[in-house]
Amino acid sequence: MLLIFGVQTVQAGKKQEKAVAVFTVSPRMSCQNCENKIKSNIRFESGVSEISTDLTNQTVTVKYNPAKTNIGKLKKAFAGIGYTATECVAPQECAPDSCCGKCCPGK
Amino acid sequence: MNNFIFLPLFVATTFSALAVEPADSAEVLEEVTVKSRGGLYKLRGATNSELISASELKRAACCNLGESFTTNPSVDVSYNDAATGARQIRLLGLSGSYVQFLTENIPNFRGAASPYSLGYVAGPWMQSIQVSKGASSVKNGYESVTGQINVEMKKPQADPQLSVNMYYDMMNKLEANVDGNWHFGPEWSAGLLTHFENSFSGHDGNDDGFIDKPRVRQTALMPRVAFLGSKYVFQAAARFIDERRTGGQTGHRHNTVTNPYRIDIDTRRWEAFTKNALMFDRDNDGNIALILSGTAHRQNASYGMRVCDIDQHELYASLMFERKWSNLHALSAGLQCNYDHYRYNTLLNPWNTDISAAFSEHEAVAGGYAQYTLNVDDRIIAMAGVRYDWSDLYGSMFTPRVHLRYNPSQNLSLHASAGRGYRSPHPLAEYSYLLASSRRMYIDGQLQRESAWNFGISGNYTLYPWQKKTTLSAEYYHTTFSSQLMANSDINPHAVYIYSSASRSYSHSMQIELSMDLMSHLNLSAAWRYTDVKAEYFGHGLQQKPLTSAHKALFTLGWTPRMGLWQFDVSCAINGSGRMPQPYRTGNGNLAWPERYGAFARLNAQITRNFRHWSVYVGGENLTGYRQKNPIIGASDPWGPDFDATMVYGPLEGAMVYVGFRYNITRYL
Repeated sequence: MLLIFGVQTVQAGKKQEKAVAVFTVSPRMSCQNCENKIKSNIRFESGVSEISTDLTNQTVTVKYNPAKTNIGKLKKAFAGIGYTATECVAPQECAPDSCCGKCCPGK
Repeated sequence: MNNFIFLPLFVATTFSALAVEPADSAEVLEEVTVKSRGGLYKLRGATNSELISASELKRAACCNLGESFTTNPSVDVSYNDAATGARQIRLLGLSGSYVQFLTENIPNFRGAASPYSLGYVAGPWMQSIQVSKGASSVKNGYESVTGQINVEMKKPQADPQLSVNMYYDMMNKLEANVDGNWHFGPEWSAGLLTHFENSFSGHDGNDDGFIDKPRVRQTALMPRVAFLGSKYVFQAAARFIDERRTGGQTGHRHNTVTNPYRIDIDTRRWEAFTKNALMFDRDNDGNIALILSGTAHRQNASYGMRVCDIDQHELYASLMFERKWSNLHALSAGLQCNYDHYRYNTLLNPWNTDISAAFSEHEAVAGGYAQYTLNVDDRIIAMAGVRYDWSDLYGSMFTPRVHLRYNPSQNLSLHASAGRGYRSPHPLAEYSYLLASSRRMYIDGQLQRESAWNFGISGNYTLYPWQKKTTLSAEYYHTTFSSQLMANSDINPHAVYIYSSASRSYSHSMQIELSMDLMSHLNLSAAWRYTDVKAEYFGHGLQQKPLTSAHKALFTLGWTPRMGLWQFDVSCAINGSGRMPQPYRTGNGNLAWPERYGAFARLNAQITRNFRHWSVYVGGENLTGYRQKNPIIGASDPWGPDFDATMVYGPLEGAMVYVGFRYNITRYL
């Protein structure tokens, strides 16, 4: 379970660079059903190598190859299954009604 | 969030009869789990239930219900005989007739449909299967003794999608399934499920002149419609199955046989049901539901010269009331009635100058139940139910059932249950496959209703060594019969006697299972089961039940690298030795068949590649090629007195390879 805020680049030797992006989605993931729907669809995006979801903190972490895909394409992939994905930024820069990295009470 | 879109994908642990159930302590599953699939999902509700999800079903070819239990150590599927293709499941060591089959929580596949019922539900139609062991809830009637199996089909209210699946194997069998559903506005939805299968040729692998498995041609159709309002929910569906089954000496090699022995079974089955639920108190899950269902089943079967035509009609109605009080107390009460009508046209024992007989039987049963559930914070769940039914043939039945679930922590869950079950005997309908032999069939005129008690305890423990999930479970069940219908093949090797017995008959079943996530995408499971099934066979005393292995082990390995884009699945089942029905000595002093059979293994494997809208898979069954030698006694002379195709204990076909693809497009709402 990773809670990485912001986009980071991880060098993995001679292999292609892997970037990590963290999103929150709307409508929120209410149960494992939603998690599975997201994971089973986003995995087909070219360049995606790993996806993990966190129900408690309402985040989706995607590890991808920036040469093959980018944040914009990933957001479009979420839109294709009915979710609006917003990138997470560092907590102190969160707008009051966004849920980056934290579970918004009562949403 | 609009609950109704996702409700059908929730599975209620207490078999609520509602068309759509609110989520209580249920596990929720969708089509594909990307991370490790930890084997079966053990539910933590009132009953001891396991859920086989659609993704678990995709680990094997799972063409129909009969092939959906390959990776489940609790349920065995075996052929009843070597000629008709009738299959039965075995749960807790006892025959599948003591398991109540439900489709969408409505009792189904009773009577004449039961020998072939495992072939009546196509794999791609199923959304999930719930296997509940031991005495189940009283809501669905008194007929479950060892457990219940409930099959949920794809619902029209799910996200609109279209799926196509095709399968072809090296035995020249082709299957095609197409299903889809649509939404008309926010409340109405409709769906259609279709299935077609055909075996283009028979295969005689062991050279006994008989094809190893019957050729089956089946067409099935299921239209359905649903209305989900805020206070009222309605569902209706119909199912039509047309099946033509041909077995016997129809192999191409035997065109020269002047009078080939043939088995022909033609079946036409119509079903329809409707569920109506009125939610009078949404906040407390208060609802009243009315379920109506009807079935018409016509089977024309001939086994050589023996004929058994059955016309069966059933009507079922159930009115149920449910309500919760602050999640602590829940009450369910209902009234049910059931009417069965059977009409037979038979010629059972043609050698005895038996004249053909036509007769009918019918039974009307009415009853009611009340069930109370106490749920203390999901830590202690106690469920007690009583049922009282009255049958116009057998009189009154009192069925108490009790379940206790104790979850001391997130990782440990304990369960105990006790209860009773009854069954009305319909031997001609349920044992018709025994006619695939030259054994005379004698059915006692004074058959009694079957009744049995079942007790069990089970426990699951989950631990996380090295952050990897490992689940250990153990269970013990004991079933004891007060009255049982016996089909005794031991008394006389040339006859089978069917009678009711009040003598000792019991089953002890013990099972241990381990499931480990070795790595995040690699899951290994191992299970061992010991069953001790004994009954007093007339003239032979207390004996092990024949054709049942006492020990069984099952190992499965699932590897899903690259987020599940690839799936590799292997399963190996090892069956221990068991006894055969009493053999006789032939002219030269040898036994007609061995008294015991030895242990054997069955290895299956499948590789699946998933794409966004497609998957393709290739796999093999029984890869070690073990097959029962000479499953048909007297195959060289099927019209003679020694012919018997009913003594089957193991696989009838050697290794088999298959390919298939699945196509699916879904419009997410």
